[in-house]
Amino acid sequence: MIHYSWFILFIPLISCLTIVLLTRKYKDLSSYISIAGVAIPFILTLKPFFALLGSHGHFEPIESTLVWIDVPGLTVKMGTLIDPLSILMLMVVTGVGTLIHMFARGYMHGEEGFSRFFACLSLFIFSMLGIVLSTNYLQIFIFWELVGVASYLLIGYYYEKESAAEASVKAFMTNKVGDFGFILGILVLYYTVGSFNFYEIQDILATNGATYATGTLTIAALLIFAGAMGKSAQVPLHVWLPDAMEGPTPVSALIHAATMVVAGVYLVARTYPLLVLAPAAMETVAYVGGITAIFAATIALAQNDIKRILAFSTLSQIGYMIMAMGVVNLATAEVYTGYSASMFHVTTHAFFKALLFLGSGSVIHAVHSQDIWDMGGLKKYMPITYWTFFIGYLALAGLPPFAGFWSKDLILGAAHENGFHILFYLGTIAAFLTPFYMSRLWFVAFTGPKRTDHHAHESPLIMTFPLMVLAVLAVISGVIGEFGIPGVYHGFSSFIHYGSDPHGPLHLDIMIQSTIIAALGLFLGWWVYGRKQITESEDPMKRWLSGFYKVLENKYYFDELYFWFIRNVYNRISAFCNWCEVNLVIGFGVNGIAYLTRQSGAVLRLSQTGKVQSYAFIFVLGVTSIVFLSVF
Amino acid sequence: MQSAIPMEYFLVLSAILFTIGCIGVIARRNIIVILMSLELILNAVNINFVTFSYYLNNMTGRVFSLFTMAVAAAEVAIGLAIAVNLVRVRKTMEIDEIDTLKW
Amino acid sequence: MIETLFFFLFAALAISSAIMVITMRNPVHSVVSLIVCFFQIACLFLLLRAPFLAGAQIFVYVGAIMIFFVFAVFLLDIKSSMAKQKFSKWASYGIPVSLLFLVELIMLALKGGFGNAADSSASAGQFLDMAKSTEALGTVLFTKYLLPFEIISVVLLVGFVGAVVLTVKAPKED
Repeated sequence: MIHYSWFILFIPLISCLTIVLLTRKYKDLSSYISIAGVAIPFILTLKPFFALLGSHGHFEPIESTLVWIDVPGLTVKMGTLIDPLSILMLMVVTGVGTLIHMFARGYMHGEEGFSRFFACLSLFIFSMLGIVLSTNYLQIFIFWELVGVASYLLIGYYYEKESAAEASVKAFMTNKVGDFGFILGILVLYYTVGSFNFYEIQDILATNGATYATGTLTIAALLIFAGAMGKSAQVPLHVWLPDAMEGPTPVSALIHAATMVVAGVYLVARTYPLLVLAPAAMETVAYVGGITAIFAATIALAQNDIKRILAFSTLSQIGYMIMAMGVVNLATAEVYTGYSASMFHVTTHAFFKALLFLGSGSVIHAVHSQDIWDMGGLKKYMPITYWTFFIGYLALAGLPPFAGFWSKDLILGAAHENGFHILFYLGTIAAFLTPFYMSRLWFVAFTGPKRTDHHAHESPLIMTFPLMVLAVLAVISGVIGEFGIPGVYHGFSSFIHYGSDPHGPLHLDIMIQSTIIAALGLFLGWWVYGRKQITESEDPMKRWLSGFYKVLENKYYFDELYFWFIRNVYNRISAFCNWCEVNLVIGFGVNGIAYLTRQSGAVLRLSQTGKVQSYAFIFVLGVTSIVFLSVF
Repeated sequence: MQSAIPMEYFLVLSAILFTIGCIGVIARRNIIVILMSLELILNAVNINFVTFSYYLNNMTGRVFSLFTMAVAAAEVAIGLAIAVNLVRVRKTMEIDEIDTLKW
Repeated sequence: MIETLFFFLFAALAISSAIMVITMRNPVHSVVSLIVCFFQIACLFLLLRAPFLAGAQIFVYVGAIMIFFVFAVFLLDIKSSMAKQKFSKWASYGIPVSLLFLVELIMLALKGGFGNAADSSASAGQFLDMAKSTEALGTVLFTKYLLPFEIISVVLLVGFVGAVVLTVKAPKED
C-alpha cells in the first residue's frame, strides 16, 4: 500500500527526469513541468496540513516504509514520515518553492540552459522533500547529500564563469567537512542506541536514556550537529554561503535562504531527543548559533553586493534559529520554548527572506548590477518590487506587527527565561544591527534619485505575483503563528513542540525592548543613509569603523585563514602523503615487486635454452632427486 | 611360487633398459635414434607392468601394457612425421641444432 | 631352473642390443638392434605367461613401429648426419645422472614391498595357464576397461590422421 506521501516525494523526481530525458528542447514546457512538480506536492501536502490543523495538537505520526536493507543484525527501512514537523517543512518547501519556481520562470527568461535550470530545481525539491520525509538517519543522510549535489549544480549554473564554478566546489567541499562528522555521528548513535529511526531512537532514549554514557551521546550529538553546521552554514563552516550567491537569484532565494540552509535546523530538531540527554552538546548548539548570528550581522554592515548582504543576513537569522534550538535549561525545563520558537522562525524567515531575495532578483533583473551603489530611485520604475521589498525589509528588521518580530521575540524570550544572558545580549545586538544594515541596503539601493543611468522597469506579473503573495505572508504569518486563528488552532506552538505546548504569556518587556531596539536601528540607518544621498566613498561606516571596516569587508579573513591553512598545512600533509604514496607504495611496493619479477625473469629465462635435451636432462635430474628422497 | 625366477630380476632388467633409454635421449644427437630410445623406455615400463601383473596376480598391468603399445604406436607416427618435416625445413637431423624456442 | 637360464639369455641379449641402439653411428644399425631387443622382450613376456602380449609386441613393435623407423631412415639423408658428432654435449652430464638413477631404481626394486599375490582377487590359475591368461585379458579388457579401450582407439586414429596431415601438407620451400 503506497501512502500518498510517496507521491509528494516522487513527483518532483518524475518532473526532473521528464525534463532531462524528454523536454529539454522545449523550454516553456520544461518550466511548466517543473512548476507542476512542486505545485502538485504542495496541493497534496494540504491534506495532512489541514488534518494537523484540525488535530488540536494530537497528531499521530504516520510512517510508511519499505525494507531497504535486511541482513542479520541490521534492518534499514526507507519510507516517509508524516508528523507535525515534517508537515510544516513540507508546507514551507513546497509553498515557497512553488512561488520561487514561478518567479524563476520570469527571471531566467532567455537564459541559456533554461531547461537544465528547472531540472536541477526539481531535483533539489525532490531531495529536500526527501530530507523532510525521512524516517531515519541513514535515509536523511542520503538526501542530505543529494541536496548538496543539487545545490552544487545550481550554484555552478553559470559554469563558464570561473567564480561560479569555484563557488560550487567550495560549497560542496565545505559541506563535506560537516557531512563527514554527520555520518560518523550516525554510526556512533547506531552503535550506541541500535537504531536509525527517529521515533525509535526517541522512544529508546525516553525510556532508558539514562543508561547510556553521557559522553558517548554527547559525541554522537556533536558529530551530527557538525552536519547541521555544514548545511546551515554556521561558524566556522559558513564560508560557502556568501559565495553560493554566484548562483541565479531564485536559487539563492530557494536553496540558500528559505529551505536547504534551514535543513540544519530541521536536523537539530530531529536530533532533539538526543540533545536533551547531552547538555554539553546542547550548549554548543546554542553558542554556535549565537556567535553566528552576531558574527554574520557585523559582516553584513560592510558589504556592497545586495545578494551578499542578504546572504549574511540569512547566516545571521539561521544563527538565531540554531541558537533558539540550544537555549534550553535542561535542569528545569519542562517545556522547550526555544524549539517551537526556532521552527517558527524557520517558517517566517522562509517567507520574508524569500521575498527579499526575489525582490533583489527583480531589481538585479532590471538594473543588471548587484552593487547597491549602482541602484537607487526604484520607487518610480518598479513600484511593486519597491513596496514588497519594503515589507520584507521591515519584517526582517523585526518591527511589529511584521512576521520577523514575533519569531525573533520568541527566540530572545527563550534565551532570556532559560538564563542564557550572554546569548540574549548577543541576540539583542544582532537585532539592532539587522535593521541598521537593512536600512543601509534599503536607502542606498531603493530610495532617492537614480545613482547610475540604469533603465529599470517593473518585472512581469509572473515575477511580481510571488512577491505579492510572499509580502502578504510576511505581514500576517507572524501574527497568525503567534496568536492562532480563533476556532481553528491556538498558535504555532500548539502543534510544533517538543514535550508539552510551551505557549505561554507574551514577554511584554522583551517585546517592548526589542521594538525600541529595532526602531533605533531603523532610525539610525535612516539618519546615516536616508537623510541625504551619499556615494560609496562617503559611506560613514568606513570612517566610524576605520580599520575594522576592512576586517568586516573581508569577512574576518576566514577565507584567507582557510587558504593559508590549506596552502601551508593541508597541502604539505598532502604532499607528504603523495610522497609516501609515490615512493613507498608505488616506488617500493608496486614497482619494486615488478622490478624483482622482471629481474628474476631475466635471470631465469637463461635456463630456457630451447634445446630439447637440456629439458630432458633436467627432467631426469628432477626425477632422480625425487626418487633419491624416497629411497633414502 | 609361480615361477622359479625372482621378480627382482625382471625389475632390475627393466631399470637397466629404462636407463639405457634415458641415456639415449639425453646423449644422442640424431633425432631418429632419440625416438628409438623413447621406445626403449616405453618397453622397459611395459616389462614392469607385465611383471607386476604376473607376480601380484592382477590383470590390470597387462591391460595397461596393451594401452602403452597403442600410445607408443601413435606417438611414433606423430613423432616421425614431425621429424621428417623438421629435416625438410631445417635441413638437419641434429636435435641440438634446433633451438628456436630459446629465450 | 631352465627358465632362469633362459631369462638370463634373453636379458643379456636385450641389454646388449639396447646398448647397441644408442651407440651405433648408423641409424640403420640402431633400427636392427632395436628389433632384436623387442624380440627379446617378447620372449620375456612369454616367460611371464603373457603370450598375447608377446604376440602383440612382435606385431605392433616389430611389425608396425619398426617399419616406420625403417622408412623414416630411408626417407632422410642419414649420410650427412653420420658424418657429424654422435653425442651431444649433454652426454657428459646425462650419463652419470642416469646411472645414479639406475642405482636408485635397482635399490627400489630390491627393497620390495610391492604387495602380495594373495591379496589379489583373481584366481592363480589364470596366470599359470597360457591359454587361460589370454582369455582373462580379453574379458577384463572388454568389460572393466571398455571405455579406456575405446578412447585409446580414438587416440590411435587421431595419431595416424595427424601423421598423415603432417607429412602430406609439407611446408612450401622457396
